[in-house]
Amino acid sequence: MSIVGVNDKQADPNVTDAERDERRAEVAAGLSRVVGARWVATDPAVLDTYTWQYTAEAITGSNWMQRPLAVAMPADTDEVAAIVRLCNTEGIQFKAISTGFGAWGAATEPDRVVLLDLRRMNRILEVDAKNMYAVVEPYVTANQLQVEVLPHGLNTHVAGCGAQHSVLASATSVMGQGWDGVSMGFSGRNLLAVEWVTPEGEIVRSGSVDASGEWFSGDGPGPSMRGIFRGYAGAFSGLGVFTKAAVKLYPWAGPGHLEVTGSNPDYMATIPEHHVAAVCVVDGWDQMAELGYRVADAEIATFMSRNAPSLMSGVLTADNNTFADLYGVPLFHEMLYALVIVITAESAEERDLKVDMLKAILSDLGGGMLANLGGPEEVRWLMRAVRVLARRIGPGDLIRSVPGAVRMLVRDARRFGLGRLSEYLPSFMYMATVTSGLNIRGVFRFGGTFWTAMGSLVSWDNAIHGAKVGAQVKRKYIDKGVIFDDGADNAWGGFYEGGTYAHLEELACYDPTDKDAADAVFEYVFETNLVSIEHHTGLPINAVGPANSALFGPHCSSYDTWQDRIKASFDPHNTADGSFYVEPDFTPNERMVAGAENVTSDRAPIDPNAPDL
Amino acid sequence: MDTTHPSSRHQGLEDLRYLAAKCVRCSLCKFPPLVKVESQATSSICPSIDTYGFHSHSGGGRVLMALSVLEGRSEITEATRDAIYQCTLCGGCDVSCKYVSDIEITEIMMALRARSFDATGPTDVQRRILDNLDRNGHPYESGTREDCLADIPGVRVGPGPTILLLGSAYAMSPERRTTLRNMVRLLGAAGIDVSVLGADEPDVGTLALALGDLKRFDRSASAAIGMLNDSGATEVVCADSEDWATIRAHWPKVAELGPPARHVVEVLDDAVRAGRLTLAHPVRVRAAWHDPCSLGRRSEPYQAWDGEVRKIQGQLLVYDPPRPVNRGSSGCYDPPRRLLRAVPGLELIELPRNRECSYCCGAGGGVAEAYPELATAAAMERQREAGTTGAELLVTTCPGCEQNLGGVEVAGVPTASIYDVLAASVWNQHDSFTNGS
Ligand SMILES: Cc1cc2nc3c(=O)[nH]c(=O)nc-3n(C[C@H](O)[C@H](O)[C@H](O)COP(=O)(O)OP(=O)(O)OC[C@H]3O[C@@H](n4cnc5c(N)ncnc54)[C@H](O)[C@@H]3O)c2cc1C
Ligand code: SF4
Ligand code: SF4
Repeated sequence: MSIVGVNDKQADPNVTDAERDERRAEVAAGLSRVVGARWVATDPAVLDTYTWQYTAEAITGSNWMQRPLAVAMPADTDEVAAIVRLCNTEGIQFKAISTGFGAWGAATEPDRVVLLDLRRMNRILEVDAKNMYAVVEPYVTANQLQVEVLPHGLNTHVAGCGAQHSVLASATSVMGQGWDGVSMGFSGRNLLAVEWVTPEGEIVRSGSVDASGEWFSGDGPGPSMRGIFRGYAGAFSGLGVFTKAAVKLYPWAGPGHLEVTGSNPDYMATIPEHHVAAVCVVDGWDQMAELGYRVADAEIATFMSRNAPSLMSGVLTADNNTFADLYGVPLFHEMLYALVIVITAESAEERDLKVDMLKAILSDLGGGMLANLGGPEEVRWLMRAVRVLARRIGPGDLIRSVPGAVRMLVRDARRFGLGRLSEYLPSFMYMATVTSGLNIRGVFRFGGTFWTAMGSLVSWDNAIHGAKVGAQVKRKYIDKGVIFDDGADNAWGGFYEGGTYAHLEELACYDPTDKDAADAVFEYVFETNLVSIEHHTGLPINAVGPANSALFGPHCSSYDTWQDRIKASFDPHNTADGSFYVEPDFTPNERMVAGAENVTSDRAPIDPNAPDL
Repeated sequence: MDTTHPSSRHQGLEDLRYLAAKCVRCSLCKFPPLVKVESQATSSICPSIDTYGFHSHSGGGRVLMALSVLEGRSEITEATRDAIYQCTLCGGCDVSCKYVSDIEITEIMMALRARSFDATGPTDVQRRILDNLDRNGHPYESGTREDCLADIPGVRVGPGPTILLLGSAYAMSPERRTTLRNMVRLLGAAGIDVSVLGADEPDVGTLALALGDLKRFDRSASAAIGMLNDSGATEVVCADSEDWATIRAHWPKVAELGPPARHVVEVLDDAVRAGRLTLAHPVRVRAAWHDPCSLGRRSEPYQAWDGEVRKIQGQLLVYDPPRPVNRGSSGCYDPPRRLLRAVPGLELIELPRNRECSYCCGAGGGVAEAYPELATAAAMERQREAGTTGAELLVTTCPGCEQNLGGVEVAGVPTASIYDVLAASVWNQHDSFTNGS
């Protein structure tokens, strides 16, 4: 079993290098006839830039996935369809990528997959401000769409990987969790109509665009296909290529342009007049659960997420040495039960009302907050937060926090100027949350990479339950020294659709060049997958790929059998690379089997009623 | 240290591997730091990927090519070599990566160039440049320093307290002589007693460095540094921004320059602020400032680090001692802006991509010579950006930028050198900047 249930395949031993090169040249000639020679790459070093991938080490045991046969860059839907037909004729596979961030954007079989790099298809085709949707091509990033729609008083959902991701890829093909989910939903649910090149090269338009030519609805009057080609996690290009998509936009009660001052790496956003960014601190998982539910019910948050202290400290600092210093301060280290909440409002009255509601909730829960409230109120609520933390850490650690806190204040005064010191934390949290431009800091920098676990879309209570049991699995690996010791808690997650569902992922940071760490993380994720079943925490975020479908299918309405049937119907020749979705002849490789055996013979003890961290 | 160049402090690919291996292929190096992006049209920072498209043509892509070569997964073919050199070495990617991480992309790309140069030698165009350097002492087919000096009346030739390094790009281009004359006159008007080295002026090594010919660079740099150190000068002033970046960021890898060095705009800025140069006459124009990469993010001083990476708390990578990282923000950004603001009547406009997030004009890194399609595409992109701001003039200070931006016509915004604009203000010389070329 692999962490993503994905099989790494070997080259066909009966094919010589010369035959492979000849094949590559033949296919490249065919591709060149479609897109023009300058948009086809076959050079090994160039192809390797599509082969090195985040988390590859957990699948292949090295940082490289498999080299594609060629990379082609189509300019439009017709060219995409022509490439797909060519792959059908040639008996090879294809995979579409937008930015191609993550192992799932790479080939798993050497020299057999044509990658379609969709970078040339990067137009925002329409922003329908009145009906609140946008129609985009694959390479439009969330950041680009966001800066274009803010002036219309609209905003777009951004996934947690950071705003450089493709809006279309996230909406049509992969996951969709993000910090704004409480008000802007989940990518798959924001998808309206699509234009789709099926695995056989047919061009299909689905949703309202099929019937009316307008892109406003995924559920008719044309056929609603979302459940088939997208479902919960997406097909990771295993069901063809999406070439256009319409996504919902949401109201934005803020300026058309965020003012950001300062210089690299210390940019700082000016929080708009009627906005508030708050780190709300309570004491304990149960209170954090209550806080999340109440704020969601009150409909006062535009952004709401839980970020473990290590993640927050990572975002606030620009290098690991400074991070280690900050994270070592007990006061920050123990800021475990906190939600980052951003309130946006059209007017001072609206803001005050929402802030009063937040204060009332926090008062009830005995919490505090660090927020841009201004004046004595800001200090009062800050002191309440400090009191909550002080109770947790005790007087000894409180005193021990002083030198580190002072160092941080001095450092930040140098970075941002004394006058802006009080603004700095809320402003940073605001900027990170609203733009999703800093996410990489919080996870990659520590060890070089990270992998995630748990993180189903479930009730908020269940997400917290998952975080608790996930932390206990993680402790076993931390104790072995193979993942970064973040106190076993690096649960990151958000709320969706008014808080009706939520998620918390348990991240594990490590050095991808450390073989022991890579193998251990492989096992960590497998173990958390088992725990997800045993402790009923829902389908984990990495439950993708054929091995995981086989593991989880029987526990979840046999969804795997439906996926198999969908794949067989739309892709009878298995031309779309479905290694992260459905593979008709899947057998686990040796590494998977060995990893699974290791885990099952040495399980972490789990106490489902474990106290708070 | 890499075995190829043991005498200097250039880092070889092997030395930089620990940083290259941190690349997670997130693509952030294709964009300015995301919090700074203002529109889709100005959401790229990389002229190379904008022109050629493939991931290999981004900073991160070149980091991965370096890893592929290092690990022996691929040889450097002709296509690889093009992908390596089709890059202006503008450093935009480096800034963006260092907003979230700390990969030394520019250093890795330069080490990859050195590896390519050692393995495959120069391309035909590059060979011609290197032949010119051998034959003419500068990278161009023709031109002599004597011709140049004949066009700058009154300039003192020979040693003196303040040496003005003219460089080759201004000096060998007859079209840029007006600018050079204005620069020298402005320094004179500011009471700065400059002299030039004339026929003896050494090549700073900028192009040899960009092409990856590190042995030649080391030779040029050490000869130039030796000559300046022996000259008795108390200050070196640099006219060419590309050379300025070389002097600040790369000369220290070879030897220490004795006299302090400044760029001309810094010298003039000081003079205006001290009241030694008066910008008396109004120049009524809406002028946008183009930050040359070489004056800005690439001119941060070299910072040596000799330490180790340690793992604490299991897998947290820290540097011992802390590793200083140049992130682009301490380049020379304010002096030219202050100078332009001091010109009566001139309205200074910021381009959306400015300071460390500037979009390269397309001329650097040996690109203008070898890949003109990239140089033109980048200049057009920058001109279009200027056009959207309502600017009537695009002002800059780098012979490469002036030439390349002035060479395209897309938005009707003429390009001018800052020295021509300042001369207009000092001497009421209104036609001197209407077209910098
Ligand atoms: C570090 C990291 C953190 C992440 N965190 C989150 C998170 O918090 N929330 C979340 O939702 N996701 C997360 N993801 C997954 C991420 O959402 C997707 O990778 C991303 O949204 C998709 O955009 P992209 O441009 O990166 O797509 P790509 O990486 O280009 O593609 C993602 C997948 O979609 C397929 N695909 C891309 N374009 C098309 C197309 N046009 N047609 C068909 N298939 C296509 C690709 O083959 C690939 O399998 C994370 C990924 C990484 C690497
Ligand atoms: S070089 Fe840096 S910014 Fe670019 S892809 Fe790699 S990690 Fe990301
Ligand atoms: S140096 Fe400039 S042109 Fe080269 S990859 Fe980086 S951003 Fe692109």
